[in-house]
Amino acid sequence: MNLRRFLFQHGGDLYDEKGMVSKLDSPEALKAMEMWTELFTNYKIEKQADFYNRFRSGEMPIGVADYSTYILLSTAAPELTGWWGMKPMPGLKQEDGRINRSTGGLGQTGIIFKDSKMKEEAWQFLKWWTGADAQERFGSELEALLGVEARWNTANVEALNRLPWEQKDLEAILEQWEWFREREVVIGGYYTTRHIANMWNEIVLNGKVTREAVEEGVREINKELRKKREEFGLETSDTDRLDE
Amino acid sequence: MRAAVSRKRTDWGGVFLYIFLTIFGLLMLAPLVYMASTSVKPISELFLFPPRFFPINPTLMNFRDLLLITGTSFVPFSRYIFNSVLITAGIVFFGVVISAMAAYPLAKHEMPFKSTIFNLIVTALMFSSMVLQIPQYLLVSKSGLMNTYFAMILPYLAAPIGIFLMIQFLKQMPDSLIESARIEGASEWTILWKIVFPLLKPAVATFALFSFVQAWNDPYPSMMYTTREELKALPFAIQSISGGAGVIARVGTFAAASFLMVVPTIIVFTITQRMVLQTMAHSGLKE
Amino acid sequence: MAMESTTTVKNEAPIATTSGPPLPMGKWKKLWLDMKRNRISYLLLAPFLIVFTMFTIIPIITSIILSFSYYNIVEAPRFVGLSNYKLLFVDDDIFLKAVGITLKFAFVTGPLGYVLAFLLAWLISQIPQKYRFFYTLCFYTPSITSAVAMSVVWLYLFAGDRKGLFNHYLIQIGILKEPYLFLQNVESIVPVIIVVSLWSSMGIGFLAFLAGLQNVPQDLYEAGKIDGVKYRWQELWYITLPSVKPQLLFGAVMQVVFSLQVFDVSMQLVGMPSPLYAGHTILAHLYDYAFIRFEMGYASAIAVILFLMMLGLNRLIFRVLGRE
Repeated sequence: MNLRRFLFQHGGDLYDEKGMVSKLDSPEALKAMEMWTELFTNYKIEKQADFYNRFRSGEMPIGVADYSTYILLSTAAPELTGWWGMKPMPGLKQEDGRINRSTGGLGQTGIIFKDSKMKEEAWQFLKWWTGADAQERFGSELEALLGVEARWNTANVEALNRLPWEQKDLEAILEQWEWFREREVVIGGYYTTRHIANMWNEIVLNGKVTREAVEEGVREINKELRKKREEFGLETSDTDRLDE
Repeated sequence: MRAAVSRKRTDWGGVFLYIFLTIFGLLMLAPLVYMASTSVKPISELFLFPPRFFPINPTLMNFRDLLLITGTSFVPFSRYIFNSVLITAGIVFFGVVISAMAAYPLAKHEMPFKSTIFNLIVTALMFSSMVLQIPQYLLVSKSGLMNTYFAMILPYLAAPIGIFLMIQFLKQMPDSLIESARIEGASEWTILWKIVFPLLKPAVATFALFSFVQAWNDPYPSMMYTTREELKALPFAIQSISGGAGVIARVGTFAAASFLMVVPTIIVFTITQRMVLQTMAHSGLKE
Repeated sequence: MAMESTTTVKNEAPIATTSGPPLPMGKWKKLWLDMKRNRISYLLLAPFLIVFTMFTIIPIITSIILSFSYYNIVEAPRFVGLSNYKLLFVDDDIFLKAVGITLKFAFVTGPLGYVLAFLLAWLISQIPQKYRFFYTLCFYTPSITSAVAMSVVWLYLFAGDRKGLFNHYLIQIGILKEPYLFLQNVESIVPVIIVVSLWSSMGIGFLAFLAGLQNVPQDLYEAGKIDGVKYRWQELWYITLPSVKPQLLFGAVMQVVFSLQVFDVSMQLVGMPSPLYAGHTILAHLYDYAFIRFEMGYASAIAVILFLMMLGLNRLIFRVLGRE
């Protein structure tokens, strides 16, 4: 249930440049929303289906899934070894002929607190940890101990190259990397995921008109964004003042 | 003659009773059985959907992994077990002692503020513990108790529900025993331990059971009051096994760990069961 | 005849230690003497009271104070008076929705779980002693297992996948044509959570009933038979129920407390927050504000209100069941 790939591939955005207002009601976003929900309403794709098992049985020969499915298939489907592969995300063909495969990804962040008394040391640690050597060492030791199940999907590209991935898979990953888009985290942003899920629910399960559901959701998101920004004394936008 | 009539009627109802209860009972047990069977599944069967109830190739590999491999990170797995046992034993033992000491006066003595205190305890039962977590944490960290076993035992010693149970049970006890002991000159302290406590045994068993189950399964002390790995206990360790980036890697181990966690509680329940049922008869509220 | 030491004090004349008029001075002095006289009691109470005050009473008071503040956990709290409460009732639609949902739960799982627990206990008590243990184990164990572990099973049962247990059979029988998303559809979320929490609610109440039932003296039943009681249900209504009234009351109180605090289970099954807030109990709302939005002051206000609700409901129960 991922709106992001549709959103990014249509050229849409989650928020405006300053991260103050939700941009889910822009025309691009609406188009993305429609495409996504129509898969379920018009094309009757199963709303929920366990891909792993169906892949194994042959019922579903193709699927779009995340990293953990890759691991699952590699380790818990021994009869399939060598018979399947990983490819970049399907995308929308653009005017220049290229295929836009944008999608979000899983991310982790490191933080150093401003009040910390050990800022320099923290920085050194973070630098070391996210560097290629540490990441590679961690990944290979982990895999040596726990097997393929524990393959470390490091964010460090260099380390990734050095870890024992299969060549074809590695190529697929690196190609997709080009299209990777960071998912912006803004203050109050937890509301966005929540309301995207609500929108999906309204449209697909309750039959609401897409535009209506989206506008309702955006209104709520903006309210929360504004509230949080005011709470912390940050600048807020004037344009979303449609609040009743 | 009357007996013959009722026996016939009982048979008919009895059979139905047994069938119904057995089916229902097995249904209730099913999730537990499922958990047990998951813990012995090899990885090729772990993710089947619909899941199988009984694995085709049961294996003890998950348990082996649990004890050996996960332990090499910071501390051996046995350390978590040791901590859990220590902390739970501490909570149960001292909880029993302190609550018994407090229940006796509240049930049997007259003193000013008695009913105030009692009502306070019952009322405290109703405040949501989620919200109390933050103030409790602040208290522990400001008082310098962080990273000690004390921090994980002390807050849980004065459980309102436990003492409530004991007080109700004690109220049923005849005063005459205590009176005769007083006349013979025994001090309150002696009375408590020589007379009251032995009679309190069923309530103690119940208290021990609830307290044990609570403390054994509780990950919060480890999460909130410790930062050092050597002090953390089982439920927390299990949570960390199941989360994080290596989610796939550890599902089997997680099932094995969960199963291991449940076994002691069932054992304790079995042991205390008879005494527990006895207590419960006296736990009703009297206005 | 009990020789309570305090009664003798009460019957005596005012304490002769003060020379002036005995009234207000006398009362306080009397209190102090009373307390000194009972110092053993207080000593015995001491350890418990100290720990209890430190780790329960003080946090409760702190929470109540916090409910009048704005507190985001990272910075120090800031006093804001009643604004949290005002917002809760005036501006927060989700809270009102949560209250509705929680009450719906409470009024269904409360009485239902209660009756169910009692019925089961009664049924078990009809079985000869030696088999009781097995059945008791069956019915009590669900409540001592962790919600997380059990949720795996529930997820399978209610999965929106075609192969989820319920969906599978419903489609086979022909009632459904395509799988129904039990865990996402706003109409089914509440019933699902009710079912699951009924399953795990066979806890303390159940044991209390069982023991109470076992301890009803046999002679009552004998006497009943002689008086003409013929059917089991008559037995139940006229003899059994009145004898276990204390347990009934206890169970009711426990049930209320429990059903107003449904949360763990629902979080595992339908997510946090649930789609369109369909399964959003008051406690879920609390969790949202405390740990997702970091507005602890607001969350404390919610906790206080929940607490008051519980107090109120318990008072009601006492009134209904207590004076029968």
